[in-house]
Amino acid sequence: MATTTDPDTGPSTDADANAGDPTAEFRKNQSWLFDTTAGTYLRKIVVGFVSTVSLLYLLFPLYWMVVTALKSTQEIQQIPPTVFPENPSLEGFRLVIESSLETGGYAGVVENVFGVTISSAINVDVIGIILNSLKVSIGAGVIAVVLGTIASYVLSRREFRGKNALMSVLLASLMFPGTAIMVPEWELINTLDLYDTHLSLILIYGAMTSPFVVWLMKGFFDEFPDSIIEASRIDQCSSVETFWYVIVPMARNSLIASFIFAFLLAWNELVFALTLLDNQNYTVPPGLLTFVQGFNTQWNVVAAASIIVSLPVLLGLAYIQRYFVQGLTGGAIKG
Amino acid sequence: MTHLELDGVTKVFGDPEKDGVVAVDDLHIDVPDGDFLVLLGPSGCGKTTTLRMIGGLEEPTAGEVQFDGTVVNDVKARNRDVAMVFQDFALYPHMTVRENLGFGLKRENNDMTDGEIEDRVTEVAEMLEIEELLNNKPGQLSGGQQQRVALGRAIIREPRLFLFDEPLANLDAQLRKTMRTEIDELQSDVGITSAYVTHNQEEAMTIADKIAILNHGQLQQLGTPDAVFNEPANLFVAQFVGSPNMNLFDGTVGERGDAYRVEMDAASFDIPKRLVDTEFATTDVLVGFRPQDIFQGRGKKRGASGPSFDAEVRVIEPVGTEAVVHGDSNFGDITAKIGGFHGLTAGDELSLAIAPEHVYLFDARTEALLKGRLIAERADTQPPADGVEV
Amino acid sequence: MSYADQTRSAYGNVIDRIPESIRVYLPIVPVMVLVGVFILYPIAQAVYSSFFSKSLLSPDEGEFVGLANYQEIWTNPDLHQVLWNTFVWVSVGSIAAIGFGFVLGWLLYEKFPYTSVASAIVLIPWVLPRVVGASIWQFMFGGDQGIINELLVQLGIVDDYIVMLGSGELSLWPPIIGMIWRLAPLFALLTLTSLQGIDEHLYEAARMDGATPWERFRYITLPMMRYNLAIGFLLMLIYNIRNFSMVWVMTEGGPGVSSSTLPVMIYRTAFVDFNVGLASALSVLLFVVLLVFSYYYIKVYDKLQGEF
Repeated sequence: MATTTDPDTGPSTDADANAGDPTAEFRKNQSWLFDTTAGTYLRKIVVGFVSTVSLLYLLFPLYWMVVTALKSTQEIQQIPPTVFPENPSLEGFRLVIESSLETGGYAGVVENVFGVTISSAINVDVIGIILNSLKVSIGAGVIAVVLGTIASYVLSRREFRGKNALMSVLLASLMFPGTAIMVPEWELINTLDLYDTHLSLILIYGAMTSPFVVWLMKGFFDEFPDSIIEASRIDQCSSVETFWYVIVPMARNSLIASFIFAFLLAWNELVFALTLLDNQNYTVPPGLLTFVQGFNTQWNVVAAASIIVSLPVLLGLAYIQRYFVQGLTGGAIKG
Repeated sequence: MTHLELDGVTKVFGDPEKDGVVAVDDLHIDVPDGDFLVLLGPSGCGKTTTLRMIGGLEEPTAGEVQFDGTVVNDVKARNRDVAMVFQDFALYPHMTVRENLGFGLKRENNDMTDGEIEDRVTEVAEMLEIEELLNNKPGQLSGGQQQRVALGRAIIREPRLFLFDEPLANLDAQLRKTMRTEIDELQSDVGITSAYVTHNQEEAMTIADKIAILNHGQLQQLGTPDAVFNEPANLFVAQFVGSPNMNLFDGTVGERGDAYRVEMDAASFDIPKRLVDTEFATTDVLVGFRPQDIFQGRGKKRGASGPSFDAEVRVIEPVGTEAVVHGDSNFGDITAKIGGFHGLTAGDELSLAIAPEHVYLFDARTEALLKGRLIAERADTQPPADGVEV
Repeated sequence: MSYADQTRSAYGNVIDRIPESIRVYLPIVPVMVLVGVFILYPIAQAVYSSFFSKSLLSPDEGEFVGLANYQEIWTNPDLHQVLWNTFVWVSVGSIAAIGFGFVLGWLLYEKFPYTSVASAIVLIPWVLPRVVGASIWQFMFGGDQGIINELLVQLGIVDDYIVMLGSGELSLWPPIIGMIWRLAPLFALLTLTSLQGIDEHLYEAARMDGATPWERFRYITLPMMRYNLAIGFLLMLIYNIRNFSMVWVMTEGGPGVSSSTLPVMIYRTAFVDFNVGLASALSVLLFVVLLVFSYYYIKVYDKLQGEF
């Protein structure tokens, strides 16, 4: 029963205790950290400190990238570095674009049309590597989404022998990325005579991301109500028609998310792009790497190029955020 | 044992100065020690918010929550010594039933040894007949069993108050009835003051000592189940309580000798003045009668002077020995609950009547009650000399 | 033949003639071929190549050497250094990413307004192209204009700018710090999602039961999250051990092998030293570790699906 026993004073002084402070009986289950003013302040200080340090660690590098991109070449070389740019300048971005135009062979065109002479010391075609990456990423995304979705539909809807083993193999293959197989992959691509082609990357990235898509879309189909499929059957749709006219439109968001997942992976992958391509065909990651290694005194240019190649990724992130955890964990964790 | 008092309790979600939503508006409710209070109302009426303020899960924007005269607004939920049964039971899914039951006891600084806690768990489990489930996890239990565990978790601590937040809503109809009875019995046995939230008026009527009916955060009526049924404070209460819904028609009222003359579109009738307590300040009224009060036959023949009318049967919904009949009368749509429906088919003509004691009158403008339902014989004999009121 | 089958025959009698038990597998074939050729076959190829001594320049002319490549791993002190580095990477990197990520996830859940916007911002380090993230850290750790050197000087930890990325003693750590920065957001998001998955009513029930915030965390939050945390832990291990870009961009594994981890060493062995056999043996080693992690991942995964 809700006794008014106070552990300190004992039951005999109950009445007195209550007379003194009527809320005393509500104090018997208190903790120092959460019920005293000192404890509350301590918690606030600790939480505030931890938040600040965490956010600095997390966000400062991003801030630093943006700020560096906005500094002039001269300001970059100052020691100690300036935390706020003194003379914000777009010089970095200008140099990136100029070098792209020149390396890409458009300098002459620009000179004729705009009357501007471009002569850049930097010879990395940032726009070129972006175009290469777009080609590879879209190709891989399409392959992964189409093949993955078809497979996931069957894996979700039908029971058959070896299904669990198949799903496990797919999940495990998600865990085996480039670094474990880069050497044999190189041999394989050479055997197939695909070295230094974007097709090789499209196929490999497609293979790496289609298990993602299978797991993500299987999650979708698992929760897809049977009644809708039955309704479409009553309306005399064949399985293919049901899939195409009923399920695919409803799956639109999941499909787009799958595509962006595959796209992002292809956009970010370094190992295969580095080992299976030559310089002139580089995609963003190895291209940017040569940029970093070749021009690491001109950090404003590197930072500007970094920002440019990061934009597609950030746009993609905004869209797929909702699916992120599911996609990354193969649906192990549901949001 | 706690005497619970809500004194002007108000809860505003959002910014009270700007576009805050008033969930609970200046609520005054007094629940004597050991009473069973039901908070009844449609969804969004603030009943759950009220319950949560009693439990300490929400803080009132204004007003005081008092336990035995002590203001507990500042006492945190975990220190209030209150137990709550949630709609979804909220059993800890990773703990066995035994651990679920013992969790609260272990949190209290009450010097109980593990052995004593174990004994208490067994005792409560036996009381609720769940002793063979003690080592199961909630996921393995049926809805009814989970409900019992949730009850056990509340009872075991012998708290100051029981709070129930629609505890039966997730159960099927059959189970709901048995659990309702069990909760009622349990509460009477342990005698702990309880507050119970539901939107189901039938549940409220059967279980409550007192019902508080809320709408848009405002208390419409606080009274016994009988009172809210027979003497609803206003039209809202009258419509919310009782099933099927009350029939309502426009009318005017005027004095005629020792009776009030009620004129309706298609009929008129007298209500003797002795049946009415209030002074009528208006002539425009709403006339209501409950489907249960309608009987077959000519009212005048039976000595009563209530309204009577003919209706063409549209739909018959048998419910056991009686049937709910929907018909078109010269008043408009009418719903009646009558016996002797066998042989009736759609299209048949029925003669229906209501005793004047059973007629409700509401002020058409304020919707306040003018005349409630009196418990009087609807028999052919003379009405009782003084309308007995309950 | 049912009516449905008849209508479907418009799509081809060939497919219809295949027995149903085999037809089920057809939609899965393309994915399995792709995965089989480009992921599973190379794994087998790596195992095979690890028994040969061959050069990247003439991969077809291998000489069978039995376990010699594995013997090399067993005896070569440089490779011991690499394995030790990898162990430090994986353990320190994972534990720190988990700790930091958990705090971050909890802050997102409990303290930050606009959770979805805030978590999108927190995720940026994870989604940024690997090379971009790594190059920012390379710049920040740089010896000439590096802001971190300036910070250390300001804090009085060092007197003057020091070389970190080019120092054999220190070079292992900057990439780890960069990697924690990249992985913690992922763990934070997992934490946030798990926290959001816990029914609010459980906390309320615990409050009514007299549990303090700490006890609610200890007895409700942690146990409810245990499998999700296990999944997150395994993901951290996997991402850490297979990382290549953070090290390669920042230090290329040097100086010497002081900052090399297994994946970086595989790359250097194969594409700098052209020693395919040894690189394959190292790949098999990495592969075995990943297989163990994946096995547990799938196990926890199955547990999760069966829970509650």
